[in-house]
Amino acid sequence: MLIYCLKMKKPMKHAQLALILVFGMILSLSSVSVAQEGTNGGTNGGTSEPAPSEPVPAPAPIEPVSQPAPATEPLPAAEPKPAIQPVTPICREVPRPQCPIGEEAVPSIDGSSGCVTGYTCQAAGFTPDQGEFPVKPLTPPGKTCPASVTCSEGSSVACRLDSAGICGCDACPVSAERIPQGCRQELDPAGFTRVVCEGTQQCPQLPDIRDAKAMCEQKGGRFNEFFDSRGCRVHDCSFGQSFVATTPQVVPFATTENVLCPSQEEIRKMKIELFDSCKSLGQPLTFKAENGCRIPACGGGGEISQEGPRCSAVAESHRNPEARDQTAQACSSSGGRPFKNFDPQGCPFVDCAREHTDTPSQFCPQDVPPDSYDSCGMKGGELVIKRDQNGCVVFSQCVTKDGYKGSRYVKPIEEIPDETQLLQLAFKLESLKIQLNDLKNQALDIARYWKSHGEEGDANRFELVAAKFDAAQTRVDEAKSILREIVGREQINENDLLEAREEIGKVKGDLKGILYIMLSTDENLKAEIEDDRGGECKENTECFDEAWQFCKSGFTFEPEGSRGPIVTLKGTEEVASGDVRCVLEASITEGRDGPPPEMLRQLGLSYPLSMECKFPLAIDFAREGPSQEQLKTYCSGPMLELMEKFGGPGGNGGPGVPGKCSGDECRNYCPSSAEAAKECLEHLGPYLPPEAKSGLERIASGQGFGPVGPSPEDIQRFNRFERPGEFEGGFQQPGGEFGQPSFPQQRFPPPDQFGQGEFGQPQGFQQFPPPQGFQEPGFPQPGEFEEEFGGGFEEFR
Amino acid sequence: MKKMKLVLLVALIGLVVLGAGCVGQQGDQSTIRSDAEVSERVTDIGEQVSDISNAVEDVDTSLG
Repeated sequence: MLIYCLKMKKPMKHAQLALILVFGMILSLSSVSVAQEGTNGGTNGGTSEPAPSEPVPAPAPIEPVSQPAPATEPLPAAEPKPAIQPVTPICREVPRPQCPIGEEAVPSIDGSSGCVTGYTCQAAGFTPDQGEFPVKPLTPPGKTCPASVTCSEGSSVACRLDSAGICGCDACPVSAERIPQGCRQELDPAGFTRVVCEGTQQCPQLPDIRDAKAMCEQKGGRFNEFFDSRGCRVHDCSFGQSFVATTPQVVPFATTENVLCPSQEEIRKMKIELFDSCKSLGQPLTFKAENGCRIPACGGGGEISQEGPRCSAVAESHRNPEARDQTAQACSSSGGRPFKNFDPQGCPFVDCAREHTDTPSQFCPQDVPPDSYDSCGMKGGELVIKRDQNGCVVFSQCVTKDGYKGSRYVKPIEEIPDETQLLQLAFKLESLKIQLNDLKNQALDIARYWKSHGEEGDANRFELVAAKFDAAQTRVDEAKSILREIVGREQINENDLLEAREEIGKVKGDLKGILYIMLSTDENLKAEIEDDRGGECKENTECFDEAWQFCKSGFTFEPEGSRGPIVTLKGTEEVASGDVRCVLEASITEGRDGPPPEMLRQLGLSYPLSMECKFPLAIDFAREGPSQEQLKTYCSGPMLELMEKFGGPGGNGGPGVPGKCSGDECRNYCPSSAEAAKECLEHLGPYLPPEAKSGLERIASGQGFGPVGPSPEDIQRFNRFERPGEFEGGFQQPGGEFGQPSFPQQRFPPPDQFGQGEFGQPQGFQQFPPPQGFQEPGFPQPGEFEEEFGGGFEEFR
Repeated sequence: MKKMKLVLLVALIGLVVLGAGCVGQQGDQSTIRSDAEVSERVTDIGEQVSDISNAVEDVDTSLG
C-alpha cells in the first residue's frame, strides 16, 4: 500500500490519503484478528464480553482411585486417540506420582498449550481452591468415560464423551417408592432428573378470620387478607400509613414520587407499642413495603419462616466455603476421603469416607435423603437432581415458583450493627455483586449458544436468567450504597437498615426466580417465556407484576384503565453495554385520554403515540412504575418527546400564557376574565379542542361573562366534565370530602391533579370526569365556592 | 489511475462491510461447545446461586 502511494506521480488529496490509510489499517487489523482466531481455535474469537469461567476442565473430580488413570496430558500423535478429541499440541510426558490413600494426582495444566506441566496430590475429588463442593462432574481431557453407570434403583444408563471432552450420562430414574403421591418424575436429556409435584402444596391452617379481623381492628390496625408469595391465603394487620404526595404526574403510567413515609421516631414508637399486640394476634412483628415505605405490621410469619435455612448444624456451617475446605483437609489428612453428602433436609455438606473403597456408593451419595422428596412435594415444587458418571448426586435443588418476588415483609432490626460490621457487610455485598456479574455473563454465554443453534426458546430463557442476575446485581449494589451511606453518620437510622434489608429480600426472590427459570420444566412458564404466548392483564397489577418478573413477551397492561395507555412487553434483549433488559412498548391511540389531535399536529406528532423502553428488571414496574429519570434514561419515541416538552423529564410544565400560567394553572386562569380568555386563546388556541375553544371565545367576547364571572356553562364547556358517574368512589386524600378511592391509590389521579391528564395538560384539554359529588348543574354561589374550593371566587367579581 | 482508485474504493467498502459483519458475529459467539457443556454450566450456576443465597442470608442476619 505504501509503495503504491509512493509511486503515485500526483500528490494525493487528503480524502484519498485518508481512505487508503483506513484501508491499510483495516487490512492490518483483519490480519491480527485472523491470527487471534487461529490461536484460540476460533471458539472465542475476540468477543468483547468478559470471559466467563473457563469451561475447559482442569483438575479433577472424583474418579475412583483404583480406576485406571490414563495420562491426562494430550497423547503423542502416534498413539491412538480417544474417539472424539479436540486437536491438541504434542506435549512432554510428565510422570504421575503415587499419592497417599484418599488423595489423587491432580494435574497442573499450562493455559496456552493445554499440556500437563506437573501433578500435585490433593484430597480425592476435592478442589479447595475453588471453594466448591468436592464432586465436580467435568471429565478432564484424556480421562475415560464409562459406557454406562448403574443407578441407585438398579437400572443402568448410558454415558458418552462428547466433542468437548465432557462425559455425560443419561438421567437416572428415581425409584418409585421415593416419589411422593401426586408427583411424577421426568428424565431430561441433559442429565437432570426431576420429581415434579403439582397441586400438592400445603398451606398453613389459619385461625377464624373474623376473630383475627376483630382483634386487629381493636388494636387500631388495618386488616388485610391476600394470597402470599406461596399462593396461600394469609392475612396481616398493618399500622401506620404512607402517603403518595400529590405531585402532578405527566408520565403515562403512575409513579410514586414524593412518598411520605412514617418518620424514624414514629417507627420506633410503633415498634415498642406493637410488639405485644402482634404477639396477641399470633403473628410476628414485621415491616412491609407500602408505596416504597416500610410500615409496621403483624404478619408475614409464613413467608419469613420459609426463608430461613432449615439445614443441620453441619450443613449450616458448611455454607461457608472455608469451613468446607477445612473439613475436607482434615478428612484427607486423617486418611479419609472427603465427598459431598446431603443432610436429611437435603442441604449439602462435606462428609468423610473413613475407609478407602472403589465402590461409589460407599464414598458418595447415590440419592438425596427421602425427606427431600416429601418436603419439596409439600411446597408443590420440582426436585431437580443431577448425578455424575459415578452415579453420585452432584446437584440437588427444590425449585418452586413461589418466592420469586421475595417476601413483602422484612424482619425488624433487633440490634443496630456498629460501623465496622456495616463496612464488612458492604465489602461482602461488593464481592457478591462481582459474582452475580460473572454469573450473568455465564448465562448470556449459554443464551448465545442456544441462539447459534437456532433454539430461540432456550435462548430467551437464559437471556431472562441473565436479566434476573442483572436485577439482583443492581439491588445488591443498592443495598451496599445504603450501608456505605449509613457509615459515618452520627446516628444510624433504623429505617435505612430496613431499606437495605428490603433490597436483600428482593435479591433472595431474584435468586429463587433464577433457579426456577433455569431448572423448571413447568409447561406454562415454558410456553410464556419461550413461545411468546402473551396475555391481557388489563388493569390487574398482580397479573402484570408476574408477567414483568419474567418479562413475558406479548403481555399487555393498562395501568390507567381502558382509556389510558397500553403497555406491551416485548421480551428480553441484550443491549450494547452487555446488560439484559426487558423491552416494552407504551402506546396510546386516538380516542383514549391523550392530548387532542390538534395539539399533536401543532407539535408535528400524530396518533398512535408510542415509546419503546428497555428497562432493567430491577425496576418494580407494575407496583411503583419507573421514575421520570428512568423514563428518560431507558425510553425513546414520540411519547417521551411529548412528555419532555410538557412537564415530563426536563419539560417546561405544559403550554401556557407567558408570565401568567402554565399547564394546570391555566385551568383557573383562562376563564377568570375576558382578558385572560383572550390571552389563552392567543397562546393556547392551537392546543384546545373545539368545545373548550368555543367556551373561551364566549368568555373573551363578554357573552358568557356575567356580573359574578363566567357562566357555569362556559366554565363547564372549558373544563369539559362530560362523563359523570365514571368515578365510582370519588377521590380525596384521607380525611377529604370525597372519601377513599375505589381504585388502587397509586393508579388514581390525586385530588390536586384532578383536571390534569396523564400529560400534564390543563383540564380544558382533557376529558376527566367529575368526582362524585361535583355539583354539575348551576354555578356555586360565592359562599359555597369559597367553602368548597378554598377561596378564589371573589376575584371574579 | 481512476480505475485503480475505483477498485481500491470498492475493495475498501467490501472490507469494511466484511469487518463489521465479523465483529458483530464475534460478539454473539458463545464459548460453549456442546449440549453437555451447557448442562455442566447450568449445574455450576445452580451451585453458585445456592452459595450466593447462603451469603445473602448471612448478610440479612448480620443486619441486626
